[in-house]
Amino acid sequence: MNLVLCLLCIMLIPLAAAGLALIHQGLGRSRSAAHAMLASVCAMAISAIVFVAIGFSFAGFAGAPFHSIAAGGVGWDWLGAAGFFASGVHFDGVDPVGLSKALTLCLGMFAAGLAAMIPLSAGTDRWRLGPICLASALLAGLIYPLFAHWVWGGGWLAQLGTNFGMPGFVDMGGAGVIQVVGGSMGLAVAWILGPRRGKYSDDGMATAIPGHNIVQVLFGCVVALVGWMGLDSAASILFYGAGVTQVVGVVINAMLSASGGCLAAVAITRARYRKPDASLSANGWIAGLVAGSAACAMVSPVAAIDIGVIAGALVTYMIEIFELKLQVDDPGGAISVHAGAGMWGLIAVGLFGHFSDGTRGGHLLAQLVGIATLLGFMLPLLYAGNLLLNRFVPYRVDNDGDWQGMDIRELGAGAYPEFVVHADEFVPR
Amino acid sequence: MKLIGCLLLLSGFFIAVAALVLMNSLATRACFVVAGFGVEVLGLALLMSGHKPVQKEQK
Repeated sequence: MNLVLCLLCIMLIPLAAAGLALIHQGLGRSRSAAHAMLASVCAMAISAIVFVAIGFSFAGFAGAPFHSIAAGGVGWDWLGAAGFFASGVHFDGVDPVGLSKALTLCLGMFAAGLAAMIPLSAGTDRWRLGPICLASALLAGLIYPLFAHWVWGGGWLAQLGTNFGMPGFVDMGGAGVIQVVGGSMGLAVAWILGPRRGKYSDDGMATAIPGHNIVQVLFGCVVALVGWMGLDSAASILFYGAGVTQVVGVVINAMLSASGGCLAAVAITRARYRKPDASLSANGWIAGLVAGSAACAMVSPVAAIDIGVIAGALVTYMIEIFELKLQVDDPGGAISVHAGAGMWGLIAVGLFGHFSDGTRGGHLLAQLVGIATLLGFMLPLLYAGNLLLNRFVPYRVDNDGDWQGMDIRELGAGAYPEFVVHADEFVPR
Repeated sequence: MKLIGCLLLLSGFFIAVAALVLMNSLATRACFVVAGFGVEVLGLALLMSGHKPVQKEQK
């Protein structure tokens, strides 16, 4: 295992967070731009501290102590039991096992932060900063580590092969562990917060509230690409033992799936609305990255393009269905881009992956079990956890704050003080 | 409606997990897992519709 290469790849992951933060604030309103960026930084900061303090203990790593339940004649490894505050990780010496543990902690710290940033996009323009920090702590300390342990820490989903005579669940770059978990939390948060004021008319018609800076959104896409290449490569090396040649494939596949996703969104929006939609195309790019990450080191470049194209196409329709039919106000499209495309990416592992053992049907079944777990267990858990937090610390800003914008309301100053402020922004309707 | 939706989501998950323990062949396991998915989709649909009236109140 090339641990130096792994460390270099991990150091690129903050660029994925930077890209998501730019996309998130660019797709929101100008009056909440500074709040959106600060929320992203706070989510990353809280997640890093809480994950190192508590989360890593529950997430664990292969070979670490774990909690197990005996049911149905097998032991279900459901939670890591490593020491709190990363007490089992030592940063001295040259022991490869010790280095591997330290790298797992490092990757987990950034991955938890990335997962915590995803729901911000669904709650933008109305989610208060305090509850954002608490929700990020909940995600990084308990919920993310639980699923990360099941998949990357040698938990029951990774052990499907050993316990049930079928292939294990595979998620090489975190499409399920990071993206679907984050996107599901986005859905839970959007449900709890409700839509922005003025988003839906009395008869249920959606009003378009366009993002305020599409240039930053598109720049964020390019920045996120670099981070995603690092994330996919690092996770593939650390959890699936990918070699240097496979890492080259991961980088190529990440670019191809993002390209496929973006171009599919450009073509579909061009065909449907006569002109390409820049924000949906940016979402298609990220959807391609998300979907491609699940099978990043085990598919051919052609398959990576296919995965990206389908993800990009899927996302353009999903965003419309969530906004218009289901009346879920998700300004950044986080639910469709991260949860929707992530689930497609997990299925794509079974459809397109190259496997040395097991039948394709067996791999597809293992992936379906993983998706059923995300939808049937993680989503209710995230919803219940956030509902409980909302009882104690209300998530939503009050009515005046909704119109004033989060910058003035929560930070006391706008992101663009030289800009002309339109009078209607401060008049409650 | 929201509670029933959540319970259906959990039920679907347990059906999928039960398939692993109770069934042996790939085909029967796949049938059970797909059935579990069906239950989950039903639960998700209930949760989605359960949140629409709340949104109307907030408007």
